Amino acid sequence: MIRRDTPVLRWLSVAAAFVFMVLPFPDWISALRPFLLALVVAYWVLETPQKMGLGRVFLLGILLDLASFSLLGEHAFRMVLIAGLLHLMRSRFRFYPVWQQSGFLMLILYADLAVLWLMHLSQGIPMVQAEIWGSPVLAFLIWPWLYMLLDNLRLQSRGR
Amino acid sequence: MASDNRISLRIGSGLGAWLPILFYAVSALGLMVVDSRFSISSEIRSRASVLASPLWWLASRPQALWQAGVGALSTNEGLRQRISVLEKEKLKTDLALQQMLAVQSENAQLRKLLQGRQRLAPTARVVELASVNPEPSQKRFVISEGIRQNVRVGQVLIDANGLVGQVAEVYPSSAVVIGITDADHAVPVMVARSGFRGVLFGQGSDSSLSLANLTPSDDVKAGDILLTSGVGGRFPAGIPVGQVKAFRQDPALTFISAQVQPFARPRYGRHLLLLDAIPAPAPVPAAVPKDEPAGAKP
Repeated sequence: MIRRDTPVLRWLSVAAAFVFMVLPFPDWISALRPFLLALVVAYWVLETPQKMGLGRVFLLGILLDLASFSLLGEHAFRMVLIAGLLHLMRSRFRFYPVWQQSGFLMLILYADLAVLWLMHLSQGIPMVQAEIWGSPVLAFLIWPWLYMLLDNLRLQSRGR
Repeated sequence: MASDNRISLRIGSGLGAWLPILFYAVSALGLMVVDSRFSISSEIRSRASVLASPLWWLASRPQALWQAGVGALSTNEGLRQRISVLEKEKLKTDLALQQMLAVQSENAQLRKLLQGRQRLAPTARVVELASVNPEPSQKRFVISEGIRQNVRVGQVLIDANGLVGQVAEVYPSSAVVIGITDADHAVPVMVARSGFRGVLFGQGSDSSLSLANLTPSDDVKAGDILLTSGVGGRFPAGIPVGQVKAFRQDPALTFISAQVQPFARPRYGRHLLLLDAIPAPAPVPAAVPKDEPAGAKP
């Protein structure tokens, strides 16, 4: 079976998630905002790992740092850790049921928040919004739908 | 599934598989250190602002669409009601303005008598909010005007309720504003009632600022309104900033800090007022006390 690659869908979905990350929201919603770019990158790491290597993830993180006025390298660091972990356990992860994948991603995102908290602590910035600890739960709820949506679009666009 | 096996072999789970992660993670950490020392990111941002402007435009679309939708769906009746409410508001502000004019001329005369410097009435124009920093602890946002529209670093932004912040970085057609609630920002303020002066620090929270280093004898009470004091020359004097809500003893028990609720709500609505740059103040004599820093420390 020849699998056609779907670069257009990949970069479109990444771009959409990127814009979502910089959308202006009121404060409490903004704190609850799930790390959607990491989720979309996670999907492409799982499905087409050769096309979503750590170098590209790193570059995406740098771009997000530039767009979101965070310290250069902060998002890059977080995204490289998430994508790297998924690269390592990809072969197992792909065969988990989707809710288990969700739960696992939520755990990863909580670890990611802990990393963020440590990084902020070292810069002397407090994590003021308690709501931010709710964002992995939202990611947990979003993942199955995101997975299905991207899977359907991908299968359609490669014309099966 | 042959291809999958090959990939998982390549990625593997030995020590070698961790090397790329380690490499990129360490590079990211290195970048963070370099950036915090030399702030290369703002340099890159100013070079690449042309590329970023479509992003800000895109990011402001949902809000614009929402507002257009609200406009299109509002009924005749609702609009009429809104107009009548606004007309009543305008009457009230007109009345206040009339009194204000009288007070202003009186004030100008008094200042002349006292041979004080004339107070400059700041002029302002409306600017559009383009994007808000997604990092909740950083209170920075982007406005859609920049060097081409003559925006300068240090210009002050207000909204209908009070002081919002100041311009921190300018790019050809956009500018980054640092809000007074940012953890890296401080405003010289005075208590409207007693004239007590102090410095109000942002804490990275939208609902609370901190008036630090108070002693029990300082004349600050809960409910006091804080205005900009004009000290430092960055902010024009007399802009409402916030209201004192509560007091908290510092852990060291030497000073008290006041929690202040800011008036401005820059996260609601899309337009802000950008005050024109005020002329630089006269050079400060050497004997100025050190507890009044000039403007912000971005």
